[in-house]
Amino acid sequence: MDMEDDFLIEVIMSNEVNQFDAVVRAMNVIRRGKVIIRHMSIDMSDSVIRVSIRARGEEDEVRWVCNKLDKLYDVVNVKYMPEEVHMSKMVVSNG
Amino acid sequence: MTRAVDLLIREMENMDVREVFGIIGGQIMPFFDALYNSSIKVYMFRHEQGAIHAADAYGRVMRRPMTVVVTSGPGATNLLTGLANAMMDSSPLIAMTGQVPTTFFGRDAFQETDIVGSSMPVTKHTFMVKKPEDMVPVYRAAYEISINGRPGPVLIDLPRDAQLIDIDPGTTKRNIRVFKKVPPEPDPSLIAYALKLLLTAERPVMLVGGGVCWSGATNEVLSIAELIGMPIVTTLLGKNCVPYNHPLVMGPSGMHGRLEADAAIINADVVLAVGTRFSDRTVGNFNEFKRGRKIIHIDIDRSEVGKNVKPEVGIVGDAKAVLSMMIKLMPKALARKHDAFIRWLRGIKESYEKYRSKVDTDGFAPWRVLKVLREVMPPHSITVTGVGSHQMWSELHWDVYVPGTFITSAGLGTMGFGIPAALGAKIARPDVPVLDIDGDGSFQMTMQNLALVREYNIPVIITIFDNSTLMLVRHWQVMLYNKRIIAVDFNVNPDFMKIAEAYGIEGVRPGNYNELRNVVTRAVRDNSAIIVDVTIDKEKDFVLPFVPSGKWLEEVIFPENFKVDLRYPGDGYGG
Ligand SMILES: Cc1ncc(C[n+]2csc(CCOP(=O)(O)OP(=O)(O)O)c2C)c(N)n1
Repeated sequence: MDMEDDFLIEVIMSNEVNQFDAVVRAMNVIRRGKVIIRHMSIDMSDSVIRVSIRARGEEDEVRWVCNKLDKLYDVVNVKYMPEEVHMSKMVVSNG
Repeated sequence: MTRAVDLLIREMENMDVREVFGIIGGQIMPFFDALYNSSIKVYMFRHEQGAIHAADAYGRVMRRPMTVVVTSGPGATNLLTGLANAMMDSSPLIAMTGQVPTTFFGRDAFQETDIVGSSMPVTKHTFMVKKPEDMVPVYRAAYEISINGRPGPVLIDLPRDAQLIDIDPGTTKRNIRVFKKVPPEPDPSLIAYALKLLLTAERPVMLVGGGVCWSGATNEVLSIAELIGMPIVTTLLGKNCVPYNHPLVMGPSGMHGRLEADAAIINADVVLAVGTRFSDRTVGNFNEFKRGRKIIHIDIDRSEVGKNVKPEVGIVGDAKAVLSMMIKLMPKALARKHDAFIRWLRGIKESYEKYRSKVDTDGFAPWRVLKVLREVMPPHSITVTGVGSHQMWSELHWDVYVPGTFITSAGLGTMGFGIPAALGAKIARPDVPVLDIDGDGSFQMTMQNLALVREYNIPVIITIFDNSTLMLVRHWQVMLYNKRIIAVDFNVNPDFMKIAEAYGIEGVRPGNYNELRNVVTRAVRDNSAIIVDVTIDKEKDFVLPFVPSGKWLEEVIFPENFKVDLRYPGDGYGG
């Protein structure tokens, strides 16, 4: 049994046609993943849609969700990282 | 200025779209109106589900999407099963649905349904075209998406006002940006590692899925298997991708698979799985499957690798490209290590066939009916099936000689797929005989589409395995629910001969195998439509061998008075 951890998933999507459909499609993928979503924010103010997700689960499951998201034709880019790494990066970038 | 919908039709003509399938209705009337003077032919189905299954089969045969056009509301929702079916079996198609005008959106207007929302989980992609100038670029994008990488269905929702607005043709030239994820070049180090595993394996086995057909990798599959001397086992969709008369092909494994194929997997220490999502129907029990076996998984879809089975080596890429590289890296002179194992597997096949030929001597036995049909259907003819025991008998006993000629609803298991799939396949390849192997339950789910046979001259051969019951479920009730038979038997079935007559099709109820052989031979020779109603005894129609759901392949239930040991005794067994 793999360990559950907290991960940060970042998705960038195109908002060229029906921007909100892109978001709902991504949500449909996420809701079928075996991960628990702890926080999500969606920024649609820009020329792209940015979704940031904090999720808890086994890394394999997080990767599966990301791979599924990456297949979508309105998804430009998907990244995930363990939350600790992200936090330490934040600290570094804050100087 | 031109109506957006006229520009769309013009673009479809330019893209060599010669026909569409569908049913008209209020919100899609502009599209049909635009077809009025076009070169595109409309096939009017009698139910939208029929149109979309036909499109699904057309896409599998032609490897390009058929477009299905229906109205909003019920027309659109009638497509959902077909979309899910095409999605599960990776079949390309485009569904275009009329929609209420944008001003009515969300007001529960007459025949308004949120088809984009409803279909999202069962499509590869969806588009809602609110701006008329998007209509043409969206169609081009949908076409491309449906066949890109792993194929699948794409839905385009067309509000009526967007269809009708006049626009400047110049505004439709732009392309919608779709973010295609190009499969990576195969990683040589992973391929080298996979090869090492295969070459050092005691008993390597190849598991072929439907992805092999889409990738066009049949020759590479056979070459690798021949070089290493390893048996090939398939999934239900993979059955369509390799010729069954090849000496290394053992057929499908799993719930209703061949014993020699199950035995190959059971005794394998390395499994090279190509273009398969590892269905529970194929391997039975994932935990047992993983135990003591190293899995090499090649798939174009990154999200399939590691989804159901965690591989020792996962290679994301196009099957043909990966296997070609594997062949290049393969040492030239290889000792044939696995001949004794292959001989042992073929021995299982022979003893099962011998057993079969001795039993089921009175009345029609489904497997024997299939043998007779196979004899008279030319090797290149296309065979489609319904869903049920007749389909499982076909999985076991229908020999595919030419890859790409066996079309079945594998992932969703949709009863009613057979008739429309036969129509779609025959429209795609009018020169090729098309046979539908159907059940009486499946047949009745979409039989209204038989009207197309005469309307458009689509001569298909339909055989009904008529047991007056929903046999596959009855079988489970007998085997798994203590013979508590409920809600499966049809006490009153329609007379299928009269159904045939009503649709202007010849109907025959043969009394013996010779009669069956003769009527089908004649239908093939004359390229004529026929419905053959084969009476099957439901008390005997049990598809065996059978691995109950969730059980490991070794827990297979054998046919009565037949048993073989599925554990390989070792190379010295004397075979
Ligand atoms: C649309 C749909 N409804 C229900 C089922 C469940 N189901 C699977 S096989 C089967 C029986 C099929 O009967 P028939 O087509 O007569 O074939 P047979 O098993 O008798 O050969 C049923 C009801 C299904 N697969 N599809």
